[in-house]
Amino acid sequence: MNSVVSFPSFIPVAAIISVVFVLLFLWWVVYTLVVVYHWFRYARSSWLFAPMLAFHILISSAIFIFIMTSA
Amino acid sequence: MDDIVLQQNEKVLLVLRKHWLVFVFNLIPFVLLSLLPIVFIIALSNPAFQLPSSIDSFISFDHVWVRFVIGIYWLFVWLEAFSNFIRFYFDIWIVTNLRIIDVEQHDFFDREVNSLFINSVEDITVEETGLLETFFHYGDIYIQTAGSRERTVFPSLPNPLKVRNLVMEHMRLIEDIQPDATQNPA
Repeated sequence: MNSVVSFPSFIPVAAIISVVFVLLFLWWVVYTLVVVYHWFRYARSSWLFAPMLAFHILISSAIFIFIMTSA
Repeated sequence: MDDIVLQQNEKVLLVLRKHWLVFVFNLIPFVLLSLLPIVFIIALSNPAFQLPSSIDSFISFDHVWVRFVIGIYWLFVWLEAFSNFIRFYFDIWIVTNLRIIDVEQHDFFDREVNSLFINSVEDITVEETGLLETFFHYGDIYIQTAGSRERTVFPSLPNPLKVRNLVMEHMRLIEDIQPDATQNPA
């Protein structure tokens, strides 16, 4: 029989996960804006900008969905 | 290169980045790092390990905290890998008919732009060392300029010999147009 590890009831696990997740998402948004800023400033004529940004959002979304499904 | 302002009558001849193989090599650690949790969980879920049942319940992708921690870890690995691509893509070397512009993107908000005027170039050395560099035709270019003790290095450029020949050709063209005043005093 497997005994499952659980946290004491006074620790609001769901709330902690939610707060960390929101902070993580905000940090990701800032990172992505910095990337967009650099691309617009130094390589706006590059055809690769849109595909790479789409790829970045796709991979990040997959990771965020993976994290979210844990909650 | 959109921020580079060209001079009058200046034309871009080549825009170069490090060889793609350099980027692939830089990606390998990130691929290995992202596989690490999967390998770790598969290895620890092997019955041969005989972990205590309290820990054993943790060793699964179904566990809330495991998914949470691994997800955050993967996000960090991904963002660092993507930053690595940005550094690779923004690190460029522009050869114009008048100068060589070296743009180094060290990190976000950390960019260095240097120009070497072709008429100040004294010597260009090309180094292709090792099996991969020889096979895939990439290598380092060292440029010695007048009045500078140290050589400027441009690492891992594709077709370095072709680049060297192009720069030499434009050195000769500039010499033909503007003969050295010291050799031809008025």
